[in-house]
Amino acid sequence: MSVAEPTDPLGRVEPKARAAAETPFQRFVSDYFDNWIAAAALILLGALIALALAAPWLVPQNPYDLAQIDILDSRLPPGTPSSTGAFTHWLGTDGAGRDLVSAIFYGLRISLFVGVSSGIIAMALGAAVGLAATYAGGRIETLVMRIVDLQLSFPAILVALMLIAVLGKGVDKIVIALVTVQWAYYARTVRGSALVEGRKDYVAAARCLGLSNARIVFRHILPNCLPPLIVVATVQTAHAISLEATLSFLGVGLPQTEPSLGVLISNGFEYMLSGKYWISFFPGIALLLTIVSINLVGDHLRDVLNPRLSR
Amino acid sequence: MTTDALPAGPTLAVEGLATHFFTKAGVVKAVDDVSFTVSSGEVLGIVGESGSGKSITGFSILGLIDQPGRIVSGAIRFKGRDLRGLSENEMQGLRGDRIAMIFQDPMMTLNPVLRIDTQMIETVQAHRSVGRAEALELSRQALDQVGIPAPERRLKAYPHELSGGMRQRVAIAIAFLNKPDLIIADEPTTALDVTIQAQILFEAQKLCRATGTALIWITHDLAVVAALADRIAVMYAGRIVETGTTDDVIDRPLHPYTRGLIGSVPSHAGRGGRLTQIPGMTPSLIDLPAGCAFRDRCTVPIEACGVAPGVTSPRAGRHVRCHNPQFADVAP
Amino acid sequence: MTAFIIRRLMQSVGVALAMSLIVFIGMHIVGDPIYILVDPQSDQAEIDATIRRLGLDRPLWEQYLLFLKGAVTGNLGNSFVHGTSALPLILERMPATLELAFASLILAIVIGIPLGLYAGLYPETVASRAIMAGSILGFSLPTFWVGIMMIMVFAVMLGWLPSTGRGPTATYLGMTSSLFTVEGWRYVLLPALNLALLKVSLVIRLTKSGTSEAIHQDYIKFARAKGLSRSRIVGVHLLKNILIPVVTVLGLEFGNQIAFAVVTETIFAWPGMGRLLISSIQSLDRPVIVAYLIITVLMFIVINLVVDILYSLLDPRVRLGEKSA
Repeated sequence: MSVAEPTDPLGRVEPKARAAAETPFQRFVSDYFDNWIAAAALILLGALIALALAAPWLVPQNPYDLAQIDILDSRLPPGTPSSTGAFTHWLGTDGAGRDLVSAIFYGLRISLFVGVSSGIIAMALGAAVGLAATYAGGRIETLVMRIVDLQLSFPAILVALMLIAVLGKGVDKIVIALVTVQWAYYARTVRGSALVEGRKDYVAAARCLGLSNARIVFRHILPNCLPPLIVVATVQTAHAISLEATLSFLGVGLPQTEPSLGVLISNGFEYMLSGKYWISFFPGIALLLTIVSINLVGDHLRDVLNPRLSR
Repeated sequence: MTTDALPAGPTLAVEGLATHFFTKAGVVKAVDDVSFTVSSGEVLGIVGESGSGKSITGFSILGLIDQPGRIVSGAIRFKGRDLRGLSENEMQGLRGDRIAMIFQDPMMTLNPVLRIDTQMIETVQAHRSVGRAEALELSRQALDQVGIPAPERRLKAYPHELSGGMRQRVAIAIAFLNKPDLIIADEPTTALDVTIQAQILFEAQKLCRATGTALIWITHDLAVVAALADRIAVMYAGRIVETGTTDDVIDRPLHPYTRGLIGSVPSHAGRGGRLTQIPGMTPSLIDLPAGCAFRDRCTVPIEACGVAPGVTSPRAGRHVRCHNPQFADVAP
Repeated sequence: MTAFIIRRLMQSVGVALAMSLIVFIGMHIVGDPIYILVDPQSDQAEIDATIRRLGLDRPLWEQYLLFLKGAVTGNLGNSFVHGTSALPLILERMPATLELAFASLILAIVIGIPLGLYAGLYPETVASRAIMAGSILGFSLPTFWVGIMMIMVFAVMLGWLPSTGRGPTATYLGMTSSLFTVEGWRYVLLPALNLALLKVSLVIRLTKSGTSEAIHQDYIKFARAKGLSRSRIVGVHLLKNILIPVVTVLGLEFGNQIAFAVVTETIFAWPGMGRLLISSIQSLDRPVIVAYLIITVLMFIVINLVVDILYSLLDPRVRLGEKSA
């Protein structure tokens, strides 16, 4: 794994001295914040999550309370004051007269909820299957990994579309579809690192101590699989959010009653040819910021958590 | 091939060459104040540990030093012309034509996805406007010259279909393809078996004598140059510490480092005798301490070693960079 | 070589059979397959007739054979919406989808390889950093949203390119495609660019990492020591080594392109099979969905086979006989 050469071809010695007083977590944090782009992405992501959670207390309007919406306010360009004069539609309004700032914050809630919950369920399921397969070994392992490979050889969007064709619309259905699409990545990741870890000396040592297989798998191997799992989880969550938005845009995802960012963009599509760009544009920017910040965090986590790449 | 009359003097004269690498960690003086000459038909062995700057010296001559490295001073006179004054285009014309190079690892030097004939023909056609058929015939002859059986078949092969020794012969054939005036061989036999190593040494020496090509043989293996070279230059920490004819240097080493090197070669220690070793490691070339770079490992340091030694010539044809050269005979 | 292709073909048939079994079982798990294959509005007599016609009253293994026979003979049931056989509906829209996927593949190569090469050769320049940052963005941008913005900017605001539909087609060498007409390219450019977005980022990353790895290899330094021109070193020695992974990945991604065309076709009203799939899902036109699935599975299998052969042709180190799937 690591190159055991003290000097490079020029005879330089790699400076590798580090303060020994740091805990691994402190070192991880300081490594992570070494990169200002990644640090900014993490702060942005945190802000987006906070905004989504606090949306009901932040925005001027509950976009789904019909009493607060005036159809006369529909399709107002950004910066127009509302008809009641109570506040300004800084990002304009959509076809039903909803304030877009409010709709985006609420939409962010739904998008993040669907993405994160499907990610967590898929991670739990995939990791469990991957570990169980590795633990069982033999035919079962081969069979499970064949299924994983087979599923991964098909594009996620196709699998999701087929599931929705069968299951129908709805938040629960979308989450099921997203979990089905994602679990295989986690299973493969866990199994891959479990195989690597399983060959290491500390596992042999644990075996010599007479520990049970289950204990070795869950107490010794699983914790060492976590770093790659975390990296995959960030990337997969970004994927899930993007996929949900895509499905909703196609009209086969979330219903109008659960308007995620994808639904908002989809609603604006019909007004776009008449030049009313903002109805699709601003929810899209919110979606983009969310996905980019998660991807940047994941990208950098990969660098920081990967011991082979650490400098 | 043009037969322009060789100007009088050595084929290559390197004077005060310094190549430094400007890294984030500091300036690496990989080659510092290196001077030597090599003449037509002559074999010069450059000996040193890894990291002593011998490979960088070779790349400097060819103008193949990449960022963050740079030749900072000195002259590289090739047939009287200073190569440092040439444009990149002119250098490209010289490389592979007048000056060729052979690399250390034959597994890595040939492009894995191109056939041998492609890699040979392009070398001919880069420098001479000849047709494909003629270039192919020249390639076939070159393979034949280095002792490759059934060259027609090898030409159609991909590198992975040949053994390591065979690949190195191909690399040597490519180097000799345009009948260069100078070949720089950077540890070309290190990665090979001892028997194949001997064959390749023999072929290379024979070819140089026959064609009048000057040869610089870079190695860490004193035994190899002892069998091959006319003269030896010993490098340590980016500097040449001792030069002279091969026999003279090996029989009467002046520099303590050369003595250490010779003492660590099995054949010189005698059967059953203890091999000596040089204590310590090559120093980091970043921020070399003032004074002699070998001081900390030296068996006979004196006070003057705190100041970097200059080059002295205690005997005709011998040069040494040491305050305390050893004149006593090497213990048998 | 022939033996390899034959063996690979046998494997492909095996995969196709396995997939057909999965689809078949899937249809049975979800519910009584009769409700997948029959129009929800039909009365009991029609249902009974269909059950008999499709043999759904027979044992399972016989049903599977019938299903297989239907798939092989192109009889997968009639579309509820169009009233015609489902398979031809898909097949007649396939050329438009393939054309779109192909055009986007070309764009991904034409844009991605030069940019990746540049970023790999000169990693420290501002332009290279911008290219690599752009490729991260390309991975993150939701395709459908970019498509909408493209229409917004290039069709609505600037009016340079048509926003929707497919251009006029021409027939050349027995193939009918809109790529053979200039007007056709005007129509395909925006959707193809949209579909290529992810692949451009992928090609940039692959080319860049391949380049920065290869330029430190001895064979590149040796090529320089041979006095070869820079263009030959980059264009032959470097590119040929980089192209192997790029071509392999792109080939495997071609199936993905076809699947993702679903989104692009919907945005740009491109008359391909993806758009048909979405409207079929929305109208629960299940025979069309099953037909689409079977066609795409077959296409994937063919693509994988072609890529495997292409890979072994490109990389002399891969010996066909020894490769196991």
